[in-house]
Amino acid sequence: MKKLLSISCYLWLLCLNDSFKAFSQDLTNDTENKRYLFLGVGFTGQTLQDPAVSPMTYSGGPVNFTLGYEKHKPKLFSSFQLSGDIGAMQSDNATELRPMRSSVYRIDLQYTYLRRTHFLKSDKYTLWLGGRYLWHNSIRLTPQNDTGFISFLIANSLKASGLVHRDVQFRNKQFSLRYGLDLALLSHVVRPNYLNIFDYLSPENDWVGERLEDSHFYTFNKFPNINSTLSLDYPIAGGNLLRFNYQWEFYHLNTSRRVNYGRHLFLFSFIARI
Amino acid sequence: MQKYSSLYILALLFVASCENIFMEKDPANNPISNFEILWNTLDERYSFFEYKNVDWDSVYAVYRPRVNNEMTERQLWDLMTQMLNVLEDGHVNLRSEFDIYFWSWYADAPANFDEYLIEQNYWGDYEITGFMRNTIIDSVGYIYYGSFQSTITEEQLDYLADKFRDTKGLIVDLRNNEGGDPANGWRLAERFVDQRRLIYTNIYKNGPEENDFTEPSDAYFEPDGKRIAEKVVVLTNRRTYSAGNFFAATMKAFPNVTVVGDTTGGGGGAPVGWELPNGWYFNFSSSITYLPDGFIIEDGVPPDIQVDLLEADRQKGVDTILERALSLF
Repeated sequence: MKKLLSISCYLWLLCLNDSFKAFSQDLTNDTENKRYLFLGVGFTGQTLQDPAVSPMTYSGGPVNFTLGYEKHKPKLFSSFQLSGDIGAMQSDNATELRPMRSSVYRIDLQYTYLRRTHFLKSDKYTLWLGGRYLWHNSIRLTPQNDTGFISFLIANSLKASGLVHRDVQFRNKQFSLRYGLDLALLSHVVRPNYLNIFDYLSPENDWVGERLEDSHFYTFNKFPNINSTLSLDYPIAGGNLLRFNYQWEFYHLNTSRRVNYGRHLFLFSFIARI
Repeated sequence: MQKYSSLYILALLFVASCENIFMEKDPANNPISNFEILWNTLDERYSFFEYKNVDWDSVYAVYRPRVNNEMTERQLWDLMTQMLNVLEDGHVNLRSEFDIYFWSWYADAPANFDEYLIEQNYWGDYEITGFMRNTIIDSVGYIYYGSFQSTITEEQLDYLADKFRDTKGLIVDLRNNEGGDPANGWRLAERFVDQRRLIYTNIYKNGPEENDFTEPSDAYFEPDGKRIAEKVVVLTNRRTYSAGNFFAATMKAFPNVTVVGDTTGGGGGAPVGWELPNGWYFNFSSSITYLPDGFIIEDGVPPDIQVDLLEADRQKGVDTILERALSLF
């Protein structure tokens, strides 16, 4: 599994690198500072393997809400983003009488900081490199599991992040096309304990603190967390934008309390220039 | 090459976006797979094999050959529940839409409780405060608390503290209380314990090996809120289980509390749940709790004063256990 993932990542990065080299032209020139607020609604397709809940894979399509703030400068891109998923997931073996179903809640807070680089010499493309901080909170409620009904993964990650940008002309409109990729280098992950249970038999127990104490630092080989985003901005009146995002995310916690999680997000946003 | 670069990147994006290559294959949904998962999960996580002197491998040797993929669901259910019976643990359950399995820990014990008799001859004009039926019998406060699943609030306890202010003491009747949330019992007990004391110690399974347990965690309990009574008698029978069992265990630490009746039913392991590929759910004990003297409470907490409800008394409308409790005031 780990080997497959490493090979896949390597091939992917290699291919992207080849693509960048093919676009060797001059840099674009955008000297204007821009700031935006955005609000988005999306739908997701998610797949989860969490042995704290079940031996089975769960899948489903929670809805997503996202809001954020972006700042574009000629050589700097930064953004704050708060997003949440809410919905349900279930096993393929679920029936009406055997629900095998979890309610899922996810809240992410992220800050991205990218600087324009000159590695990519192109008149069409610009390359931005930098980092991202992600606070990821994924909570799953499975009432059928009795006292083990709460499972979660909380991760604070520092990520290497990159973005390729290109402006595209179509019917006298200038679209902005971006592809971003990031990979968690170091993460602090909190997961339930071995039994996914807290010590509710002790009257003075701080059960919230106890649930959060099982945490560890992981490098990307133990907790590979990959996120790729393709986005298209469409200009509308007043310097505002409409944006379509397709985002794919995958992470794998490679420990005894392993988790495999994949998520496809289709997000539609209104971007207001401020 | 340059002409198709965008398409190339896009194609890569979608090809790489298939996380299924990283996902592990689900276990099969057939009788053998379901049996194996149930047996293995208990093998790695059940806490009482050593205490109950159960050789789980030999249980596998007996039951596994009887499983095949041609058997019906009902046959698999019957076989699994026979296997689980070996553990003699009321916190080991198997649940489906057609049945719920649990071990009847109280089946061989005397009932020691007749609700109709008490209602007719003792409760009189009782009140139901929250879910606590309460009255005053011979100048002694009395609370019947039938389930720890019923929430108790501080306001209800303040009311009872005022109501029982001039009584000689309090009887808390927990007979047939099969458990729920221990926190409800603690809210009640906080009103009559005398001081902070060590009540018991917990250890939890934290690994797949038989002796993989957490470090011992001492549990303390202390008074809080408006006092209901100085002297308290708690009534138990064999059907007092799980959270009721923990309540009785807690009472053992306090000298102003006397437990009267029969040994509780047990249920001294924290139950935790999981599921099988076919959608059945199961619970199992995951911890061990022992009193300060080392006594493990899994099979019940013995009373300070053993009393059974005598049939001759019952025929006369007398609750032997309640009468014994009243005689202590």
